Amino acid sequence: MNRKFLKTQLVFLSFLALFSLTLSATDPVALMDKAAEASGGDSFKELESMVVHGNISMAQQMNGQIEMTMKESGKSKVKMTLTGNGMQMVAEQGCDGENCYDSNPMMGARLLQGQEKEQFKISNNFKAAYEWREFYKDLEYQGEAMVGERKTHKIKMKTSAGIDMTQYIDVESSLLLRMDMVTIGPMGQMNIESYFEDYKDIYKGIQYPMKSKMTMMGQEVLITFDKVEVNQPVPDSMFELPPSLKAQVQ
Amino acid sequence: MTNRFRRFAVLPPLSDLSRRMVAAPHPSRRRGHALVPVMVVLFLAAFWPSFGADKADMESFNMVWSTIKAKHWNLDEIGVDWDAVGRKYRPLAEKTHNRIEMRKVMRDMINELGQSHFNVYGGGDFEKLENSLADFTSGGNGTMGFEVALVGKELFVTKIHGDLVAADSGLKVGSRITGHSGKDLAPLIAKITGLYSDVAQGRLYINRTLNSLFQDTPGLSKKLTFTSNGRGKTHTFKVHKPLGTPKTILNLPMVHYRYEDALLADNIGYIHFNIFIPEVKTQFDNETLPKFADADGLIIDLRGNGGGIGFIAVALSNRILAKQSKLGTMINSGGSLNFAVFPQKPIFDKPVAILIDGGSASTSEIMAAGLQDLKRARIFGTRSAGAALPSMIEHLPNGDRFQYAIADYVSVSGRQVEGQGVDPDEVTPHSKAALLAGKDAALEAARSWIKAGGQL
Repeated sequence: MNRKFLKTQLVFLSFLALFSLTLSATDPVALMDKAAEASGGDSFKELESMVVHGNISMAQQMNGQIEMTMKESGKSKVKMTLTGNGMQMVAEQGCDGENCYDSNPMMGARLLQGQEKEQFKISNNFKAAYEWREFYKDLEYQGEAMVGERKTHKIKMKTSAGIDMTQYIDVESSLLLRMDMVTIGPMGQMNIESYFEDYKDIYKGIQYPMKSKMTMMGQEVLITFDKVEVNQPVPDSMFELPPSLKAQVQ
Repeated sequence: MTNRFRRFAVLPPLSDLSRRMVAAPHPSRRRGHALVPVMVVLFLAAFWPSFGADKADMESFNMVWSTIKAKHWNLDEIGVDWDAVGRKYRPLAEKTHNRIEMRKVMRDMINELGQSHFNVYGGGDFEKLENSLADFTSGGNGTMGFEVALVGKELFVTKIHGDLVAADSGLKVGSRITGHSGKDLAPLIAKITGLYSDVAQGRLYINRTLNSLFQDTPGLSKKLTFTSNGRGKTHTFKVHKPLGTPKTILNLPMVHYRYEDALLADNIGYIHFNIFIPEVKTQFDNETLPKFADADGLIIDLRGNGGGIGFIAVALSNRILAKQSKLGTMINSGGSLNFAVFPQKPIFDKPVAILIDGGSASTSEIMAAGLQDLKRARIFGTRSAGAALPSMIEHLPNGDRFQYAIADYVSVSGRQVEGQGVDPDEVTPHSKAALLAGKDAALEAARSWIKAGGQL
């Protein structure tokens, strides 16, 4: 009798375990948590700043250098020096923790608003994967999908500002391999596809993609990073808005 | 005849870099005419030995087909079954014997789209016209120092560049040129206008081809026959180095960039530039705007400007529009990109006039249509080229260049500029009377409007 009961219990527990596994495999919250853990987990708590250097390559042989500086409290700055076939331009985007801007010699400086601002903030916050609950809501599991030759979990979500986003998380490594989003702003409605690869451990298990490819309006932008500096002193003054925008904000 | 000459004089002229430079379907390769050569090719195919196309040529064909398949934004909407087009033209491509034949097949295929900004550059079609042009110029980008335009069927000088034309030559604005290199120009003019008359952007080609007659290798001399003040004259003109600064932008052939600004006698600012590149923005901001700070108005002369980098039109408009707005929208399968204008102080807030003609294409049209729609500028001159689609230029495996549009474009009011062009608010073509009086009809009309207060 006891043996029979034990057997029944074992069958039930096995079934429960299998059911739980299936549930967690399709539970978007669990998958996002797992992705956060795989990206570095609690090591992110020790991350205070990050400076990433690399190269950027665009259509029509437009190439250049990119430097991304990120600091706690959502401070960030991206500087791109683009050159190609007789053209040269230095473009900057940044956030001082509150306000975000875009500045280049052709278009001048302007404050980013709405989804455009949020898209920049998410893309340039090194803790976005770890603190995903602050950025994403309305998660919906959409099954498995292939990204190249990798099997991924496809999770649809919304950002606070209403950006529709889909993340593709590698089944095996739980790292983000692809992110699609549609942003609506003064520049129009953009369908942006970003692909991430060549993850490297940059600090105590924190994984960072050294290569990314972004497709926007049918155009590809390739970014390859070759140097990552972690927790180097970065002064807050680096993230100040351009003077013309400071007055506007005040 | 050099390739450069062929490229600029006969092939669809380069214009927008875009997002880039413009070109339109080759006249003889438009959809309506494509059937004839295709039928001939099909008929003759049975008698051809099966050499097969060169590997690089075939790769080029495949690249052209697959690029359009992948990048075109609305094949379904325009009713083109691109897979069927591929099935139709691939066998023809496989039977080509040389690059010229392959280029023709690729152009025929491309022109099934019936849209501008799709083209394969390389050698030349229109061989007869090329041969005719070769009687007058051997190619090269040197200039005789003046520009011309058709008034009716006659060719008049519309602009003299600085002191490049000797004063004792007697040639001036309003002179009618009748002969070139000992030959009567009338038959050639008739041939050019006849060839391009039913072609989209034909005004653009006519303008460029006629002006190319007066470009050649620097250092050469050319004998012209003309009439000035009713008196016939023949004079030998020197070909000078090309005007402007040589620039190589993106994947395009070298262009000579020209920018001029002047405060006219009636305190009206005037600027003219031949291509939209970042230097225009730099010069406009740093040199022109301070100079025109107290001007009563601004005339932006975009005549003959074939386009350039699209966002330069936005960058200039940032100094003209006081409120955030947009000049228009580029649409493709990846979304819609606004040509969004974010005002940059100081703003020039006086009346703005824009001059256009059949040589104004692409980015010129985006700027003119946008500022016209936004009621910020009054447009003078003649209808623009109607070649507004943003495009890319890629190298093909066989060395040819393939230009393809990447998006559709609509102005802020929803106008399709492509094919239609921008209609001036005041149509002011060159007239014989005005030119004979040494006057530029469009420029004079714009000045009068500004002097009258520039109300829109």
